[in-house]
Amino acid sequence: MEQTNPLRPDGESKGGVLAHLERLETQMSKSCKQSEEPQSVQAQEGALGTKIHKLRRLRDELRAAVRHRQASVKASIANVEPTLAVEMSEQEVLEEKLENVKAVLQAYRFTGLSGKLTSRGVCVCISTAFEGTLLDSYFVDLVIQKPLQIHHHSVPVFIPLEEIAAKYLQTNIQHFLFSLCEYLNAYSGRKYQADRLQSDFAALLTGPLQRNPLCNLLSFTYKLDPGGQSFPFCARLLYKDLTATLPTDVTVTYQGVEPLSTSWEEQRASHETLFCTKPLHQVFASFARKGEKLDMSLVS
Amino acid sequence: MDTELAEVRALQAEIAALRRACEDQPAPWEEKSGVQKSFQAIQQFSSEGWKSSKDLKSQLGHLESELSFLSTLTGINIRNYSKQTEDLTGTEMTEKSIRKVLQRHRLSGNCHMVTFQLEFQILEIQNKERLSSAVTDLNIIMEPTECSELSEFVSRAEERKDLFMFFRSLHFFVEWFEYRKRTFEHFKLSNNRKYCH
Repeated sequence: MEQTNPLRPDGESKGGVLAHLERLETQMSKSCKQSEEPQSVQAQEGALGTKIHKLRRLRDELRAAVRHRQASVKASIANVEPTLAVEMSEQEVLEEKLENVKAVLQAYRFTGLSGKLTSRGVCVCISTAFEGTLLDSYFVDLVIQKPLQIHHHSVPVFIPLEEIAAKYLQTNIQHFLFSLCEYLNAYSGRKYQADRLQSDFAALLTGPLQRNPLCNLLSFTYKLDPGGQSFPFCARLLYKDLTATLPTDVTVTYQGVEPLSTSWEEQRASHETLFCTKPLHQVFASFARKGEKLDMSLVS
Repeated sequence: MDTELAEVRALQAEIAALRRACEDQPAPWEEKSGVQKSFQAIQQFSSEGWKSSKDLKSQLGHLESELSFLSTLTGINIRNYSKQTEDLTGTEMTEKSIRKVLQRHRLSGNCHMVTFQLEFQILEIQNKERLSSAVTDLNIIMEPTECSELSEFVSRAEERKDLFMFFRSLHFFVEWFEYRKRTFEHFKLSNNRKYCH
């Protein structure tokens, strides 16, 4: 509340009451002065009585004025500001909550599964990744009715969606989605490995990389020493387990006419093991590193 | 006469106090400007505020049910999430139409009695052909800390920077743990019954 200066030229009512009070006071002081003059006891008593009477009146008026002001102040605050203040703070709280909820909903994509409620049911978004690299997302739009139905989706046609749905969709949505997650993540991961091989290690490949849409059958020929005289190796990778990113069957064959020397045979066998245990592009990364070492040994 | 004099003095004192009280309080028209301001604010608030307050509540309700659904579906309850973005694109990169952005994420929550706090960084590189996103750093803090199986997959996830693997493993681990606990409780109870008879 602002401090008000009673000496400021203000509007009527305040000046009115105070002016009135001032008048009463001057009257008081006048009557006080009057009472100071020698008077008869009776006159004095009478004067005192009048004085008291006037003082009481003044006091009552002041009390009323203060009460009136307090009431009007309270009224204006109660009617206007607290309601507004309450409503505004309520809204601020709501807005903050809303922002927090929106942020947390966004964060669910990092768990691999997120989604939105729709008028028909729910649209689930499956995120895929291979180790640290974030890859494509797929969605499945479910209609909540009996039986539960897939309204539409972005799952590639070679993923056995209908099979998975037939097994789990009606009995356990969570299981259905987790299973689909597995298939999609594995597919994404295999595709990523094949893509990386093609883009990063083309120099070591002696022919095009052959792959099927599901990326679970790969065939390629490669050479450890691209400029060298040796015949290339031919690799065939089969991923029978569609929920895995490592092949189940690997065969590495030698394309030359002459039989392999012991060291090369060892290498061929070790390559088979490598392809079974490490991601494709990482195997080739190690080839590239070894190739550098190999060059050095040939020179010396 | 003394009592009357005393009363005079008392009255004068009270009057002085009341006068001071009158001066302290702002006059009603002094408040008019404050009140007028509040009225203006109310008017504004009414035209935009009242409606949006109801909208906000219904929006919040809708999103909260979405959250509850996801929490049930994934088995993971995320409570807090924040993100910071830093543009690392240098002038050279801009010329080649390459954009590099580093995102810093922080999220925390729980999966039943296990609480987690994750801090990770994602580096996004956008060139003409494609956008690549990779987790470049992953730090996971778990509570309880004594469980060895938990720490095992946590360190593996951190090593491989595999967020999804972490969440999936956490969910399955906790489910398995809860199942084991329930089974144990069941056997304990049925054993007790045997002995009580």
